Amino acid sequence: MTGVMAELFAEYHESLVRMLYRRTGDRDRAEEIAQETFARAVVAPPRNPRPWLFAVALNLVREEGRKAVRQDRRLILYRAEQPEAAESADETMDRGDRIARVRSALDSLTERDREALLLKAEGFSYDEIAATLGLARGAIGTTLSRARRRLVEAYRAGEDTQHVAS
Amino acid sequence: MSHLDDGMIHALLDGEIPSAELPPIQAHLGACAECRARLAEEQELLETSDRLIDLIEVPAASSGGAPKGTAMVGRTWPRNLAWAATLVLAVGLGYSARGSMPAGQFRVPSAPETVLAGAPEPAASAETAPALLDAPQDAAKMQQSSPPPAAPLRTERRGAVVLRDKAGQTATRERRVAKDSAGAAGAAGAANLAAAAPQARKVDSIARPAAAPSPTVGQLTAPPRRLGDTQLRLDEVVVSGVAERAAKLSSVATPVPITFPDAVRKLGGSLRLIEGLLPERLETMGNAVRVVYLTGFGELVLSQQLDDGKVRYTLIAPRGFPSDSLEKLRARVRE
Repeated sequence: MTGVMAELFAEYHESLVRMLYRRTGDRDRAEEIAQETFARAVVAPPRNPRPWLFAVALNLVREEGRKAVRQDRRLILYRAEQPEAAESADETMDRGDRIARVRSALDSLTERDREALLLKAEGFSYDEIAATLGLARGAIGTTLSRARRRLVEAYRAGEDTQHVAS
Repeated sequence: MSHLDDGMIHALLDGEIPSAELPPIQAHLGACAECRARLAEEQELLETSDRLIDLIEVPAASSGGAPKGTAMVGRTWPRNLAWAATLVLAVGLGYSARGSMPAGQFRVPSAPETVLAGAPEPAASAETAPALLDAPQDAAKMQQSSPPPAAPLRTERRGAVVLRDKAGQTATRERRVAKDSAGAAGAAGAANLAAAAPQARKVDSIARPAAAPSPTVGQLTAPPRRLGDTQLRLDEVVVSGVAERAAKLSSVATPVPITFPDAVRKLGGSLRLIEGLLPERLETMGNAVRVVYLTGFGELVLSQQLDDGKVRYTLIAPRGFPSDSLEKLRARVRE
């Protein structure tokens, strides 16, 4: 990897994988997509790296997402996602449940709202979110306010109906 | 101006309103209780949403479970403290889930939510910066002045740190009440109100047990995000997991005052400051030297440390700090 690429990688790789992991629920897939994204950057080094990298990665997710097999993998992952901390059994179960519920809530958002939210979680500015998702900057505040509200509402609604995966 | 819509409120909370556009908004907030209340509500929503998303962490790599502790991106760096197990904050507030709140489970008060700012500091998270760098600052400074008696409660959000100590919050609330009754609606007043309004809820949540003794925990450690909901009883510190890590954590968690010459020495001969701003205090935390400035939005911290013979520095700004102002301040960092 050249010096510039190495820097790009060092700076954005972790954040990209995290966003992808939250977006897909699948760590391996997140890593693969991240690698693919950086590979493409090598071919055509972007001038504005962060929006470019994340936009390419999100496009890859969307393309792959059309394959039905993804659905099954997600089911399993809800259950497997257990924290590795030395918590009590109850806490571990609670935490796993909570995480599953957040995922469920995230899934209930529209794709655009979900992506905006996850990008914001990676520290993107409104300008960057707009550039990454191809939205008008003026729309980002409204998008995030809606996404945040729906996430929290969906999460709370999921409290009573405790099913792990849809 | 007319009432603030949701998009504008969130942009304000995210520090995305250019500083030049702030005064009319702050003036409106100063005069409009309804918008202030909505601002506080939306801030809670925002913080809940953040916490929920933060629950989803990338599973640690199977090889060697040591946390990476690399540079922070956005609000990410507490992520790698998976080993921190269960650390429940004890701030002696006797705070427990409030039944009156709808779905109170997720109302983790942001004040006790702390994040370690050890060696890895947020990497240039240009969140926000105070718009008011002139006279009205004095009023703001008054609001923030008294340094925390005990360990300050710190909130880290998206690479932005807001230092809120109980004394500070109480002071804020009192001043706000005073200003309301005085009918002050000037820019300074409005700025304070704008800064105070989002904190209003926090003050409410903390103020109730405020009669209780000040925080008993000398070191606030570990990201409560890991803990999820607020069944937390903030009465006791429960440390499980790796004890030595916990000890290490607590040793870097508390900022300690440092003198100017010591700070310069610690950084290998030079200390960076923001040109034109008067620091409130100097402190050290772990390897980092922190120059703390007071702003209308809270504390702005220029954190710097020696890394491989080079000094790296980061500006850590409070929530709502306009990002354009932060950029201007960044340009004024000088040795």
